[in-house]
Amino acid sequence: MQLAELKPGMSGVVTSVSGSGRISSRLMELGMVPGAIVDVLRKAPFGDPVQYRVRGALISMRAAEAACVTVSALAGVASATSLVAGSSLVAG
Amino acid sequence: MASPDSVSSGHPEVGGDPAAAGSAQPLRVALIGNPNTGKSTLFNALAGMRVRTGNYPGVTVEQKVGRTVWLGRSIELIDLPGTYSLAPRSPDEMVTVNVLTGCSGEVPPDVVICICNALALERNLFLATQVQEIGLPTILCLNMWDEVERAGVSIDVAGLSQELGLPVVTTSAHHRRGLDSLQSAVLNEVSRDSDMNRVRERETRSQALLPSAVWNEVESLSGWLAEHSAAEDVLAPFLVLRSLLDPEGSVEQLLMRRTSPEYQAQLQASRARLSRQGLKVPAVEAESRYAAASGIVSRVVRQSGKHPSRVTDRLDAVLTHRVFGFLICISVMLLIFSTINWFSQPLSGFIEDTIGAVADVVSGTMSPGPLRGLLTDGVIAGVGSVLVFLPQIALLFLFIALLEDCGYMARAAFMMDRLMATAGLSGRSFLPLMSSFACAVPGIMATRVIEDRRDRFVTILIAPLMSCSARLPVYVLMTGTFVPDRMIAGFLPLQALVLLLMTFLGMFVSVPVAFILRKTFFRGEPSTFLMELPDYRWPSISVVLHRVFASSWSFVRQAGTLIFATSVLIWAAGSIPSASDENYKLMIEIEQLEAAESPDEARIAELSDRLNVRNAEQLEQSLLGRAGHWVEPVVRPLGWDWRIGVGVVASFPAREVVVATFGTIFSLGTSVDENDEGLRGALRAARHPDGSPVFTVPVAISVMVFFAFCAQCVSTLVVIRRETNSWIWPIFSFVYMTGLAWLGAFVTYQVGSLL
Ligand SMILES: Nc1nc2c(ncn2[C@@H]2O[C@H](COP(=O)(O)OP(=O)(O)OP(=O)(O)O)[C@@H](O)[C@H]2O)c(=O)[nH]1
Repeated sequence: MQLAELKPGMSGVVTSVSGSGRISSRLMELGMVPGAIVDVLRKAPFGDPVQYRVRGALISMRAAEAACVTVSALAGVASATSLVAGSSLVAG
Repeated sequence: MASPDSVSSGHPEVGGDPAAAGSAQPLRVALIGNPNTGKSTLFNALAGMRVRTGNYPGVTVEQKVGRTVWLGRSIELIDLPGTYSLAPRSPDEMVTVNVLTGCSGEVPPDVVICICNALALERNLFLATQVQEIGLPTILCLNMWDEVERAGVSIDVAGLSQELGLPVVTTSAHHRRGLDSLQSAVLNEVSRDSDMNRVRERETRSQALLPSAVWNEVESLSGWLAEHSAAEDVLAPFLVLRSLLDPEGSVEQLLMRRTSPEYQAQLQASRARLSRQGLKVPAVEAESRYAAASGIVSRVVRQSGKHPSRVTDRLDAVLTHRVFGFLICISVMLLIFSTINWFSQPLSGFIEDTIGAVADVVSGTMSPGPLRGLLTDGVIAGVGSVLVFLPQIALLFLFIALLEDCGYMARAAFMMDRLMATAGLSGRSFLPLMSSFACAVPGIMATRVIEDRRDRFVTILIAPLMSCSARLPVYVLMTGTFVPDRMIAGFLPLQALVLLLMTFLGMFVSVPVAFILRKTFFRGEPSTFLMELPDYRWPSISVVLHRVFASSWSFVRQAGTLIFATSVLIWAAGSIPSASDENYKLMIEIEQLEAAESPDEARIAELSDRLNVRNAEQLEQSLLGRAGHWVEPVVRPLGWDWRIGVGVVASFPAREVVVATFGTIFSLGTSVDENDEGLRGALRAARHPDGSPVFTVPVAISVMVFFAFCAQCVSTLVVIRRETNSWIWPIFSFVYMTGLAWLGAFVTYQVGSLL
């Protein structure tokens, strides 16, 4: 499923980042590589962009950008990801 | 050197004889790092006071170079823009690669300091490992060490140094801690750099990270390049690697220019070979680096206790809440806007009064004549026209620095993004555009917070359409004089309604203008809003004050001189050919009468009237007045005569000048303001030679519409030149805005005359 389909409070594991343009490169630079865990935190007042957490950092993305990322949803809320330790490990 | 936070408050310029140090070739040290790692703070702490700022040629990137002395060695410290990676896709981003590799003709730095946020080590290692591949002596600086300690995180510094093969130093830049060990690490690295073993070791280390298949491709590409380029053009493996890993990036284009366009086919073949081995470009880079980074982090970082980002989470739950967060954001913005309006007006007023007082003192010591005019109305007034902007600039940058430093700015942009996206912009444009309602000059300077170049330029170009406070006098004069003072529908005051409409006219029009600019001059990938939201932290007073000072000073130095020069030139255009002796005789006589014990008021008034009439004649004959006549055919269709034309031309330095110019033209002197009943009466009574009134309601409204859109503000144009680092954009702004203004005034007048 696409990252944009996850609701606030849900988490997913990145399965792929598509496209070769600037946006996907930037996404990968920020740590959105396959295996990374992404938490969906909250939406902006007008519904877009959305705030995510990946590898301990808070990142905001518009729906158009999140569309490059496909994820598989994780059950439950996995927002106990640690900031420093490798967060591509499944959080407890 | 991998000691934990070394306590020292040492000033960078400790020891050393500056004279001896100055004679040697300075050691060039470059500072690179992710945004928000404390790079500016570290730079300021290391560089001391002797910092030169400028622009890299041809781009909008600011160049900051500091000169200092460390332990007797003279140092040139180069600040590079904050970045997440070395994969340049624009000339702005290419600057960093140019400086580090020396491929712009410069000499590469001797040492690179890569600064990291120690609490986001995994992400920061991405850039660090890229920097390592350049092959220069590199030092990893773990900043925010105080926060690491507070967060109960332990980082095995020696282990990290071992893993990376780099010296690692810990610092707390804003407490100036760890600077000494950083300095000695740099000097140490230089003294050991002649050691060939170390150089070779560095090379093998940095190559271990990416799959060897990638390096094999780099090697074969290098071979191809060597055959196809001039003999002396030896390309660093780093550049070849970047061209391979960044499809359609700036390095690929650079190498194609240097050799031949066929290089692209070579690159594509290389990428295809990698892809067949399951190594997709560009994904392979991020995957390898993050795999390595996670591994390193899991071995050297231990976490106990709770994490500081919990504080950020709790704050964000309120501050970016869909309802409360938005209300808070709006309130913060309104507070900033009104504070700037309230405080900067008395401050600017004070500056104006001071300038006026200085002019009076100078006047008092000289007798009326062209020289006195030049000094008081030209030079001193010119200085004033620069200084009046300072309170607004300083206040706005005070707020910007506070918001950025505590981490709220990114959140405000996050919340406003959808709103701005309707005009094709991003949330970062909100604050600059809002400030432009007070004045476009600080507003345009504030666009520095916009990272995306296209967004930034579009914002700069539409910012002057926001109704600034200098337009208000024009609107008040025209509305108060010509719009009937009555109620609409029984309760809406018509004049206030017109004022309100005029205030928002520019903003409404800016939306389609932004849209068109995006579709024409700034076409390309749509603007993005992919950005990091930094953790909240207390703003640091010194960082904030430094920013306020730096932006004010850069305005005075880089924009102020041009604004001053233009003010003097426009004054000269209004004063050449110079007034006849008759005018000066009148002035002398009036001043003598005024100085008398019991001034003869009636006589003074009579002489003043005569002087005002003569001044009006003088203005008509001046270059400016002739320009007014000259533009008359152009402004005729707007319903204007030459007098309005002169007013518009004379207001080029600033829109509100038109009021004083009307005062002169209609023989009332320059000391009238927009509420002056004499001026209002004179405007109503003004007649064309055929006896018809100069101003009608449609004419008055067309004047207002013109001022809503026109670029009659030299300071704005100069600041656009400064911020875009090019003359093209101020000229473009002037042309498009004047065109828009003319068209708007034309339609208004023609439609208005039909009704
Ligand atoms: N706790 C702590 N805060 C720091 C340290 N160094 C810098 N800061 C703070 O971190 C924030 C960001 O610092 P800057 O120097 O503006 O960071 P930068 O990397 O230049 O950021 P950009 O200007 O966005 O590139 C500021 O609020 C600093 O006061 C440090 O060692 N410890």
